[in-house]
Amino acid sequence: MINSGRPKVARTEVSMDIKTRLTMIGAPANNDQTAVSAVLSEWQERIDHLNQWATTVAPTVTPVTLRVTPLHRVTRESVDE
Amino acid sequence: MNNLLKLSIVDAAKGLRSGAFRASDLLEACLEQAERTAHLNAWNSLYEDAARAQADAWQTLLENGVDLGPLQGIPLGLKANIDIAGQTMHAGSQILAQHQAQTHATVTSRLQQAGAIILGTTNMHEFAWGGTTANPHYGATSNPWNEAHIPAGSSGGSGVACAVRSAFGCLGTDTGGSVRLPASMNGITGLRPGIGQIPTDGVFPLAWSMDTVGPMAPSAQDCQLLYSVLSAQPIPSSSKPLAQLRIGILPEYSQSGLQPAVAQAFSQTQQQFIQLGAELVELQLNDLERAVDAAIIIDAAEPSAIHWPWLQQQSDQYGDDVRALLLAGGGISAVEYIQAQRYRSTLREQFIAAFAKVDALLMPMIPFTAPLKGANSILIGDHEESVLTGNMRFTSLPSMTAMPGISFPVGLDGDQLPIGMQLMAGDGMEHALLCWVSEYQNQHPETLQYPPIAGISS
Repeated sequence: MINSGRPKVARTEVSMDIKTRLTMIGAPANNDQTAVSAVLSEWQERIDHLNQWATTVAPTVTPVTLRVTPLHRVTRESVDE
Repeated sequence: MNNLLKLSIVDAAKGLRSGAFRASDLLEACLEQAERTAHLNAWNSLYEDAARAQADAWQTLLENGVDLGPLQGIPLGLKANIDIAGQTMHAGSQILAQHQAQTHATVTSRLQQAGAIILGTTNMHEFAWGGTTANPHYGATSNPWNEAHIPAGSSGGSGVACAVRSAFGCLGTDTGGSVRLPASMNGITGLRPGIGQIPTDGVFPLAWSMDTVGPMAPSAQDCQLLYSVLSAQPIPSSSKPLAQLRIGILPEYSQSGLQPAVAQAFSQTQQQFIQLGAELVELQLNDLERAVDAAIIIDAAEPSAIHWPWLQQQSDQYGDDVRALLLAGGGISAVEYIQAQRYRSTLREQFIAAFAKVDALLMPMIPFTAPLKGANSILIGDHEESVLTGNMRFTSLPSMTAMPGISFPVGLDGDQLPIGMQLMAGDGMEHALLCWVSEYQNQHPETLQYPPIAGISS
C-alpha cells in the first residue's frame, strides 16, 4: 500500500473492513480477489477520512441533487445480440 | 501554405474561405500525420472514405456560398465512447466491440451541422475508468513527448491526436479529469465544462453525476470555437480582461507536494498573471483534502452500478485493472456513497462563496508530469504519491463542484515533458475561462509548443 503521508484516522462506526467489503462484492474469483483487495486497501484510508468528515457536519447537510442524465442508447439486448 | 497542421482552426477556416487551400488539403494533411504517428496509437478508427466524401461536400458548399461556420471543413476526432451513427461505439472495451451506434450523440450532430469532418475515433482507457490509456484490447497509447511515458487518460488518444496535429481538435469526456489530464500531459488545452453545459446523451457513461464532454485542442481559442458549437452558445463579443481579474490561490492545498518543476512553473505562472495585470488573492477553503476521497467513492460506486450485470456474466472480457476497479466499487456502501455526495454539497457551497470574491482560481493541473508507463506511484520528496489519486488532487475540485475547469500548458520540465495549469471558475463561466486563457496564450505564445514529432517539429 502506498504511504500517502496523510495522517491515519480512527475507523468510525460506519467504516467497514476490507473483508466485509469483499463479502459485499460477493467473493470474486481467487485471482481477482488479490487485485480487488489491493484496490480496496488503497481506498480504505480515503473512505475512513470521508467517514470521519461525515461525523463533523450538520445532519441537515443533504446531497446535491443527482443529475438525471439521458440514458445511453446501449441496451443490454444490443450488446447481447 | 507551408505547414497546414500548424494552423489554428481560426486560421484554417480563413484559409478555406480565401481559397488558399481546400478542405481536402487539410484532411489529407491530418491523415498523413495520423499515418506518420501511428506508432503512438492515438486512433482506434479512421474513416478515410467518409471523411474524404465529407470534405468534398463541405468544399462544394463553401464554393457555393453556403457557410456553416468556422468548423466547416475542419477534421476532428471523437473519443471512442461517443456515438457516431453507423459506426462501432466500443468505449475502449471488448464487451461493446460489436456495438454499432444507431444515431449520433448530440455532440456529434452539433459538430456535423457546423460542418466539421469526423475523421475517426480516438483510443481511450477501457470504459474511461483509468488515467493511462493502457488499453488491453486496443493497445496502449504513448506520449508524443516521450514514448516511455503515459499520455494520461482516459481521453489519451484525443490528447495525443491534438498534440501531434493529426486532428485540429478532439472531443474527450471528463468525469474525474479525463479531458484535463491528457491535455496537461500532452501539452495542449482542454476544457471540462460545468455539468449540463454540453449534452451527454449518446456518450457512454462512467459516473453519471460527474460525467461531462469537453473540447481538446492546441489552444484555448480553438477550444472556444468547439465549445461554442458543442454548447450551442455564441462566443461572447467581450469579456473581462486579465488586467481586471481577481485570481484566487489556495496556498496550502496548491503549493505543497508538487514536483519541483511543477512548483516552479506554478510560481512562474502566478507571476505572469500578475504582470498581465491580474490581482492574486489567497483564499482559505476547508476540507479540500476530502475532495479526492469523495471523488474516489463516487467514481467507484457509480460505474460499478452500471457494469454489475456484465461483471456477473462477462467479467473475463474486462481488462484486469478495470475489472478490479469495478468489482471493488461493489464494496462501497450506500452510506459511504451518500456521504460523498453530501460532501459535494458543502464543497460546492464553499466554491460559490469563493467565486463571489474572485473571478477564478489558479492551481497546478497535476502534481507531477507524465509518469513512466507502468508506474503506479511517484516519489515527490520523501512522499510517495499514487498516480491514480495524485491525478485527482486538482481535477477533483471542478468534478466535485460541477463547475468548469480548463487545463492549459505553461512549459516543459527538465525531461522535456509538458506541465499544465488549471484555471477554474464558477457556474456558467466556460466562455470567460476560455477568453482568459486565450489572452494568456496570446501574451505567452511560447507556451504553445510542438512535441518532437515528424511533420510538425521545426
